[in-house]
Amino acid sequence: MPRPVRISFRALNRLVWTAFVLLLSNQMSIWMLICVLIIYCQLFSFSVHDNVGSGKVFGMAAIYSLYIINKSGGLIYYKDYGSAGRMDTNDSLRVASLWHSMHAISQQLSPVSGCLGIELLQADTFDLHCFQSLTGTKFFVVCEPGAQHMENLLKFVYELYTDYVLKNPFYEMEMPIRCELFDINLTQAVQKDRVVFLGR
Amino acid sequence: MPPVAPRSGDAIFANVERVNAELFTLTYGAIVRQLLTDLEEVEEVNKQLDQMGYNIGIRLIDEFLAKSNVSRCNDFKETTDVIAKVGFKMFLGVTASVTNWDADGTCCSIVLEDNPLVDFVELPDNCQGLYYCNILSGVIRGALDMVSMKTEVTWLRDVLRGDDLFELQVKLLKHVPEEYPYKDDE
Repeated sequence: MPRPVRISFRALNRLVWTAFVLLLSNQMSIWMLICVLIIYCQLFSFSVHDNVGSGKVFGMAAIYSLYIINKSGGLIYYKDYGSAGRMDTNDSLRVASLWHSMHAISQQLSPVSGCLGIELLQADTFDLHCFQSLTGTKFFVVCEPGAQHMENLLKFVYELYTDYVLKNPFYEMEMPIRCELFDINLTQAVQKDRVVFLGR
Repeated sequence: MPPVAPRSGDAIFANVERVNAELFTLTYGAIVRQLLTDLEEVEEVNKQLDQMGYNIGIRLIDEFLAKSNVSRCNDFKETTDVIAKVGFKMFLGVTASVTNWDADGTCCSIVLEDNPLVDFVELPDNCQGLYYCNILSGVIRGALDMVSMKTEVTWLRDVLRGDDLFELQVKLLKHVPEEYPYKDDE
């Protein structure tokens, strides 16, 4: 039975609260506030199948899904692993664009300049690790709470992306990734013993 | 997790897959030769090489960032330094130096003493206007474009044209900050 994900409500409440404070102090437009509110509401409404543990496919900790989004927020790659958290195309596109906006807003909310956006979102049923390259492409992985070495995994996925996607002359920039070599190497990387990532 | 230290150009060069330099040089020569045949005008070939370089640059930058672990540069000086010391070493196996800074730090020269692209090249009389290595300037322009720097890259000195060194002028036109889909006053 699907039930709504509980994404750290406290953090979200704080987000909305900060937005209000910023609005009062005139640092933020009403549109941005509306954006925050929409995201706030959306996060409550989409649901994923929530059966922790059943996705344990790769030994130490399960990865539920992996996303790559281009610099304008379009989903260019989505892959899920195991049964937990499987989403249909529409949901995955929605998550990607939501995350893109959340990430951008979090940069704006930072009280000090130079914020690079959310790197880790922790919830009681999952963790979301995000890595953004300097060129603006975002890689993020949804995994079991407490899964280790996800930063290294994302870094490695970035390397695979540069090798097997960007170097493919028939891949068009910013478009969905349909490269078999990338798929194969990614599957190997995820399945391989995590020792690979520990040592990197 | 502590940030991973940036790797030196030599360290990366030792780790990446390499091809025979001669094969590379000859392949590049064949491309330029073919472009001259196809386009006939030397000026057009310069443009085409620059465009090809640009297309390489916008993809190459990600590989560079992924494998070198360099983090965001604080200023343009640091950027050009990284290009010369790490970038050239990683992809061409040579090191360049940065000189001739202008007063406001937006324009400088990258000087290459050694350039594997031109190992066997002599420019014939009918190709004197050709910037044989124009692909390199395109690569730099494309790569910097992807990290929100609009630049203009031109050759100032070229060994093939009788100079003693290769000198590339890199001029920062403007810094394009990352854009958000919303503006405060709209």
